[in-house]
Amino acid sequence: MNQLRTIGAAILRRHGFFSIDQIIRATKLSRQKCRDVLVLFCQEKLIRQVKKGRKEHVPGRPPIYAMIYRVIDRKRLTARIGPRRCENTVQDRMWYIMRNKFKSDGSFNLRDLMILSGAKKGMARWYLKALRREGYIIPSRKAGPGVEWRLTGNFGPERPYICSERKQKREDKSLLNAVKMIQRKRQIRPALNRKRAV
Amino acid sequence: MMKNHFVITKNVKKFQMAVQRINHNRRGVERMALVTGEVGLGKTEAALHYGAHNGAIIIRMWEMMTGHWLLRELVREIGVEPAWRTEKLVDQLKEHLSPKPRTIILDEVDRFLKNQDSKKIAVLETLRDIHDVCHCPMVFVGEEWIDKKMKRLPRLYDRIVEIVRFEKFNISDVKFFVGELSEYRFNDDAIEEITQESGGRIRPIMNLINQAEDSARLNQLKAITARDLK
Repeated sequence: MNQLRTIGAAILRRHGFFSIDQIIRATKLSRQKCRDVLVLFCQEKLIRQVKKGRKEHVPGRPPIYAMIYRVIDRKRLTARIGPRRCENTVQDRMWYIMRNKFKSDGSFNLRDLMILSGAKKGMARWYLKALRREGYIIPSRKAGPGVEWRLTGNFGPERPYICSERKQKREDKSLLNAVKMIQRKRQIRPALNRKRAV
Repeated sequence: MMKNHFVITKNVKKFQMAVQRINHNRRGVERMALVTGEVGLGKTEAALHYGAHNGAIIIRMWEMMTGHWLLRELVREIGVEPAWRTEKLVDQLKEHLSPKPRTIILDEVDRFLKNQDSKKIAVLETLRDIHDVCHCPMVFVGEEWIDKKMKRLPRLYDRIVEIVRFEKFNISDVKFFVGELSEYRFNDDAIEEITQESGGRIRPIMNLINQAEDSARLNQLKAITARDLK
């Protein structure tokens, strides 16, 4: 995550007013960097400077100001720090074909994506794989040549953002597995107790 | 192996030209087009290809579709959560479509013209209202008799400025189509045979090309003749 996003996320975590010192403490970035980003957000009218009070002056040091800010547009700030997406990319076109083919025919396949969206075979296969991993689509049978795919819900015209960070996914998976293990143990224990009682 | 790419046939070119012509900013000039043709000539595929590359909204009309259902579908396609009341739905459409008009393609419109059902005609009239208020280009796609039936609705028919008829493939079209899709060379007699057997429709043509390619691969042929198709 870059510095702008780190600072943006720290601002969003604080509900309402915040000071530059609070942001520095939360992000552990230098004062200058934090100030630069906050000035940029002010220029973009995402946040507003409310107060600029001078801090207690230490002799021999430059003066420091305690600046207090307020978020003007939370939605726009979220969009600003979020990943930016281009329009009419190959992925957009593939998502469009998937939705419309699913609506009209009930399923779609790799060939539909390649022919109608103009995607290369490798790209279309990667996209199907990625969407399947995220749970947006399911195959009609065991994956292989000529398999038909279906959407698992109505996700709207905006194509979903696919996270390419696989490492994080694995961590999530391990966490999920741990939760499942605990749930299983909880289910097994009462059954064991019942057996012992008998 | 047959190539996987979209072939811009004569019909597709006509479709794209017509939609381009109704995409204008002139006030007072209508923006409706009608696409007709028999089954299996690639009308829906042409619409999907155009929509994917130009960001058009495609709505597939259902037999039971009501005006409210259509409005909800349209609002959902814009990317907004549809409101519950019809009045609000119209407001949502106005709010999002008026500043940025998008082409709306309506497939299987012929279902609404089969019989003079007042509810179905009301749906078509709703579309006319959206066209008039939001100024967005509209393309109606349906079977070959749709233009005759649409004449019964003079207020809607008057607004149609482009009529595109998808025609069956003749020998030259089939030759072009085969040349674009197949890796093998097809002799003239094979092209004639394909045109006759397929009746100029895309799906049978594709099946015949596939069969011919299979036999060519098995027999290690370089050119395919009419005899290889039997």
